[in-house]
Amino acid sequence: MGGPGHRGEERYTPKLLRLRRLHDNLYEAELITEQGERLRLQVIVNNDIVETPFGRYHLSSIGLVETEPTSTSSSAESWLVEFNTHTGELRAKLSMKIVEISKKPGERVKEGERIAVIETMKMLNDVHSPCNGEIIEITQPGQGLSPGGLLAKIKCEKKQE
Amino acid sequence: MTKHDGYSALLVRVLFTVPRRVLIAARGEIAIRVARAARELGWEPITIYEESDKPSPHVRAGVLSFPVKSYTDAYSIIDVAIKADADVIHPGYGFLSENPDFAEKVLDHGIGWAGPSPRSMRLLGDKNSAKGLAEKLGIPTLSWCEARSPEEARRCADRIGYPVILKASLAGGGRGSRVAYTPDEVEQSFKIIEMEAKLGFGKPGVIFVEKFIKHARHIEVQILGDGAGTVLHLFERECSLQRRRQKILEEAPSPFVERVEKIHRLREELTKYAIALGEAVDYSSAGTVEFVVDQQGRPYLIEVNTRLQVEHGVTEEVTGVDIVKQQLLVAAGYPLPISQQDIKLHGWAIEARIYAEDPANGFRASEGVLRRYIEPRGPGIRVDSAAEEGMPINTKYDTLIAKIIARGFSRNEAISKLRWALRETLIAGVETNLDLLRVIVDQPWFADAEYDTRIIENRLNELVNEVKRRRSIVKTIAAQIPASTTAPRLDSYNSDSSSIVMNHGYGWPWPPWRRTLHS
Repeated sequence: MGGPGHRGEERYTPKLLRLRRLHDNLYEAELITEQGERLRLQVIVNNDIVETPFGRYHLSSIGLVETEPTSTSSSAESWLVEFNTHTGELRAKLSMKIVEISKKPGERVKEGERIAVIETMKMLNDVHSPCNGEIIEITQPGQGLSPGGLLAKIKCEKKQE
Repeated sequence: MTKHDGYSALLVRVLFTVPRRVLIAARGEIAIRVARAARELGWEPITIYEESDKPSPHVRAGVLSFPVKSYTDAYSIIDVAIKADADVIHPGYGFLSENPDFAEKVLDHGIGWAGPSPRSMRLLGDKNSAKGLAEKLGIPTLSWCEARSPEEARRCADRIGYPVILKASLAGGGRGSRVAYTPDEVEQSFKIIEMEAKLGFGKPGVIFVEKFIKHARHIEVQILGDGAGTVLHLFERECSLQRRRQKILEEAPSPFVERVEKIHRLREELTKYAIALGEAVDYSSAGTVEFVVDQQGRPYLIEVNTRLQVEHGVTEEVTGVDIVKQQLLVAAGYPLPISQQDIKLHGWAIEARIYAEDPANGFRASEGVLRRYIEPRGPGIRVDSAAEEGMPINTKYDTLIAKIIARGFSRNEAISKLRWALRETLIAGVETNLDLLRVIVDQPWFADAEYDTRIIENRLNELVNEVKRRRSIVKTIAAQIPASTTAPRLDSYNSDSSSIVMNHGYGWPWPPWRRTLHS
């Protein structure tokens, strides 16, 4: 359920065939999509804004300017919680309430295994472990968390690859 | 002599009397919208704020703004209204707008209420009593029953016939409803809704099982009453395009009503029902009577919203009636300055709601700081918004950023105006549904108005993929454009982190590359 959007992110990889500067910051590009569709379009770049036939885009919305530093690893619930790979802390990104915990401190977890059920915006959501490891700390059911609040601390095993 | 003389005469009367004061018990774009109507009448708008919301632009829309404990704290709001010597309280939408107890308290303090009477709110605001009243008046409703256990829900569904929809009685705004096609699904859905209701409201309440209409269209009638027996209608709006049962694109008039009008006088039927309901309770102020209409064009009443609605703007655009101003006048004791004959449909209007939310992640509300915000402009474009650059978007409040309303001579013209307005809009710093809206207005089924209340859900993958495809194309090009030698804009908030620095002035309406997209 969590983030089908996150996986397919790089599925579209059009290839740029030609880029021509027509005038000042006006460019014409020719691309080929992976479906073999050839496109020719003109864009204007104005500082942080790209004007395209689809509309205006900000560089941050197409991933060319990072909006936030990312020392975090993505989990399925990256819109909900943030996992810091260095400290092992799983923190709330939104206000939420813990409904149920599936793991206790000291218990082992597998990557993707449910560790808690939380409620935010009156909806229930599962939170899964971002790695294989051991639960060090986990918030009690019934407790509310504001953005930045600690939901759990997990000691991750090093990946053997 | 024109028929609008009555209106002008009333406006003259209003403008040359002592200015009245309106306390706006709302925040965000609607508070700004109401403040404008008050100022146009020569009245003084007063706004309120929660301490943490003090920088919000609506605070500056009033001649005065007072802190309150919370936007839902009746006592502190009435206290402020008395301190400010307000003649009228306008509740906007949300918060206390549909709370009859609050309306009663306001009226008890001798302050006008820009909404229907508490009695009308009780009779129509409660879904059950509204349906009961509708049945008495011969208005069709959907068959339904109440359930307190999964077994009861199953028996109930067996009686009504499948598919059914289960809803929590206390839920609003699209929360806590599920469609079930089989008895097992009914029991499962009951358990989930009960759990969600417990979490959201602290108690499960009653769960309703109702007949589910396939390919339903959501069509609603705007009404206006003076509380003395006169109820007018301002035609219909169609709000079938929804996500998570919440509206994102609305239009007036309804393309479905227009289409079936030749064979079936649906508009007449809908407006007749809406007025009958309004007249039955001596409705005053603005209200909306909501129907679902099945594929054959049969309407069923679903509920009455006893307040101003988010999408009131499209009706204002096609009728030319300022609904908020009518509410203020009626609340201050003036008669309605217009009659049914004055209300005509002119052209077509479509509204797109831009929310801070992520369509690729189940439409979860997103937070952040609005780092860049550019509104569209041009003929036929109206933007109702309370957004500005630097503003934090907090999920504590409604995450509506802007309502873009396009008005054209025909539906096709309204669509092209909306399409270009959405392309001109720019929002950065927070994920929004803007790109999704751009894709939706480009769809052939949108152009043909071949949609129903589930279409966005059903086609979500396809729509989100198109959003991603477009972004990937833009990204591929933008990533290859070399940095220019021109100096970065001084006020560019992140000129250091951007590798692309170019300067090129372009003027409204749009840069010269329209003949571009070839395939």
